[in-house]
Amino acid sequence: MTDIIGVWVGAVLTLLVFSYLLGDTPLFRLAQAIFVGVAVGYAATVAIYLVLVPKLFAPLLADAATNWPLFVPLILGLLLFTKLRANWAPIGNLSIAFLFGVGAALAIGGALSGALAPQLAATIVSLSPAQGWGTVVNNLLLVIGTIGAFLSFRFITSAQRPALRALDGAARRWGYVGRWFVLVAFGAIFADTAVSRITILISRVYYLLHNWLLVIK
Amino acid sequence: MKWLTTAIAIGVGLIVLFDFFFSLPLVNAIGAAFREWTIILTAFAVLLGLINLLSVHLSRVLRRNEPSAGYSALVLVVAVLVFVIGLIFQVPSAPMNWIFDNVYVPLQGAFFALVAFFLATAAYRALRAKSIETTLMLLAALVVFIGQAPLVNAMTQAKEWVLNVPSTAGARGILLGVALGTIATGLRLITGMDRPYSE
Repeated sequence: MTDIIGVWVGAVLTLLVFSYLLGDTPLFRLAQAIFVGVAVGYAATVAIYLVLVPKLFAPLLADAATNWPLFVPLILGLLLFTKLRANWAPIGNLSIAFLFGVGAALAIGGALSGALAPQLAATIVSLSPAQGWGTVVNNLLLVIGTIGAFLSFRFITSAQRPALRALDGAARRWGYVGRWFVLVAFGAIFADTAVSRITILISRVYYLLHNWLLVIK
Repeated sequence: MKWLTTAIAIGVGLIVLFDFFFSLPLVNAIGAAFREWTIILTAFAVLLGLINLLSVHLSRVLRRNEPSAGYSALVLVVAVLVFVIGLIFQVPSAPMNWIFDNVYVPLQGAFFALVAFFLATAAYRALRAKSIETTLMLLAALVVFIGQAPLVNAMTQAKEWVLNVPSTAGARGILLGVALGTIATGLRLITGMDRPYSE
């Protein structure tokens, strides 16, 4: 029974959202409001039961003497709520500063080990003809494109010295070619996104026809 | 107060950064504790954001002549209802799973599916061969789009080539720029040159 109710609820909500194809209808706004409400309620419950209770409240209630360091995030967390009142908001900056400090350090580490190092390593490719000319051309394009795309985001004023100016001009031209690679990447990302969204659309239509209307098997 | 917030950001940032690069038992232990505390603080921040959102909607409901008061009331009612059910039954539980599977997932899927129509209209407006750049973008999009369907083998191969060579090169250049930008911004925060937390 709950399955049937669930399918009906899911189908009606899907149709409410699809009503946007007719314009910004009240039905669509209804779906928006329900979505925000559910997301808010669910996120709050997840934050409490999957983070705060197991990581903070349960250890403190079990053995506060041993787990006393957890009072620090508890106090910092409670200080965050001072942000709700403009007069007290500066006190909450202590917690925000903590979050920024950890966040900045993790971002640096993540950017170094997760993006910079692996992407640079992947760009160091062999140009040996032994692997076939097709691979050599592809690898060459990869290197030229990567450096060019990187240079295309170079926004500095021209150098004064003639030698530096020549170097600057070369980098600018390489960056111009690199922009082509960036646009190809944008095109590919656009197409990939469109395909993924169409796949989701098909899955929703299939849900309506298969689970709800039982028209197709 | 400003010196204290700056000191906290710099001190905490340096310890977590050292924890990332060096194998020192004490620093590693403190770094791990700071990361755990960050998760806890993020949960508090989520609750703060949710309270703020609900207070905005509550003020709309209480305000007179507010046209979207009805929708705001619905947001409040649904949020409180789901929250109360979550408090009673906890997460994960059968009632919360039912809400997630039959309300949240269909709504999220439908909203994402709706984007397909917007992308189609955006493609009609944006993807026009006016210059070399837009032609390249249009061609790449078409090859990847058509290559997804297993109709012509050559198209699938062309799609693989576009994704593996020029698209990878372009995306990699952007990623390198983003990584360097992230590192520069992170260093400015940790050294106290930027202090957005003091505002």
